[in-house]
Amino acid sequence: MHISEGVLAMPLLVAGVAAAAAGVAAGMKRMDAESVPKVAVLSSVFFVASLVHVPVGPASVHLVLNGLVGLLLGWSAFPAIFVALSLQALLFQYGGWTTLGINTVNMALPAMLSCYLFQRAVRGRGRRLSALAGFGAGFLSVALSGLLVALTLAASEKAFLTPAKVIFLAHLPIMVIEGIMTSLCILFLRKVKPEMLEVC
Amino acid sequence: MVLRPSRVFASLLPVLFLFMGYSPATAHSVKVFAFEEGGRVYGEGYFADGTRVRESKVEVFDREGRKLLETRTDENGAFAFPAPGERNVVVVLNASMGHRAEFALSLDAVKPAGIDDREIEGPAANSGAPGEAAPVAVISEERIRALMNEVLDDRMKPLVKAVLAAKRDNPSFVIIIGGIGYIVGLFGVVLFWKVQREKRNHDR
Repeated sequence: MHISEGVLAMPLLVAGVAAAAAGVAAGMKRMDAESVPKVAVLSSVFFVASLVHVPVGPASVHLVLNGLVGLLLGWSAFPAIFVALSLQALLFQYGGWTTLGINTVNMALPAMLSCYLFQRAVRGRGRRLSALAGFGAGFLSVALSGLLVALTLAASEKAFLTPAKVIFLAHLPIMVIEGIMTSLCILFLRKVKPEMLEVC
Repeated sequence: MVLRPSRVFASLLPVLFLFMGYSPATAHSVKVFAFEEGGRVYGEGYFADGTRVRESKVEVFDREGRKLLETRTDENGAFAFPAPGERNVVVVLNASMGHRAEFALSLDAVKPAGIDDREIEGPAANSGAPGEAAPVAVISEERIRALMNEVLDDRMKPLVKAVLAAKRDNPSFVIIIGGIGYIVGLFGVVLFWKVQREKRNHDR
């Protein structure tokens, strides 16, 4: 879901940079010293996740894990994902420098939203509900990112429904896998370090 | 404000989990390569993990951005088109989902007009044996140039392929670890800055 250089029009790229800058600034401001190591670790998780790929049809898709990142970081997902995407662009040539802003927004916005949507259920008393919320966060974040990518592409390609369908279908396995992974991580953290789940 | 090591440790577990599932194959950057041979341009499109970019649109532009021609990749991600008159072209591959790659190609090694391949064949067969070289006077300068182009094309083909293959290498383990190192270092700086600020606020 990294959008390459030269696909999008200039105004969209500028808007992406502006939105990403605002998100990163907000995330940095809300980050206290104690949570910095956690942000670094989840940034690394996001950085590495993109290397685990699943071939689907003519394309190949990879793990995103923005649901997990968002659930554990809230607003700090913006700086974490921004840093990870910059390094992916630098070291793996994924995406590109001009699309860094829009890619950050496409990945981090759903991550942050999933924190607000699922945080309460994840922290709740019921283990089953917590697991379900974890699955929901993992699943929905990827789906929303896909939707955002489709919307972004629609602005320059004048077609929305077909690319959106392609993206959704290609990422369906990823959504399920990430749902399960996020759910497992949440269950583990509930047991070991429940205070890590208190974020937004 | 205390940084508990156990907390950092617990949060490290997902990373380890990921590494267990790590396969050296990667995805999601797209690359396209092309080279000219004998009046045709051959090329291939890949995702970074080596998966071919199948049945996708390939467009060829000149340096001013005018579209010269359009073709599609086949099942193996390969495409070919007749070399256009333009010397410097840009090959653009549009894979799905916002993936796009460019390759700038200059078509320098073009045979001079008026010499066809059959004419070249005779002397070319001899070129391997230095003792039996054809009489020098028979070969015009143009023919020598054409011959050399052909021989070089043949010799260079495996090299070109090797170079292109190397270019689509997966990110190595070292690079991945290096990237994580960058992240740790960067957030180390952030941490330093945050702690400094909190200390200052505390003192006040």
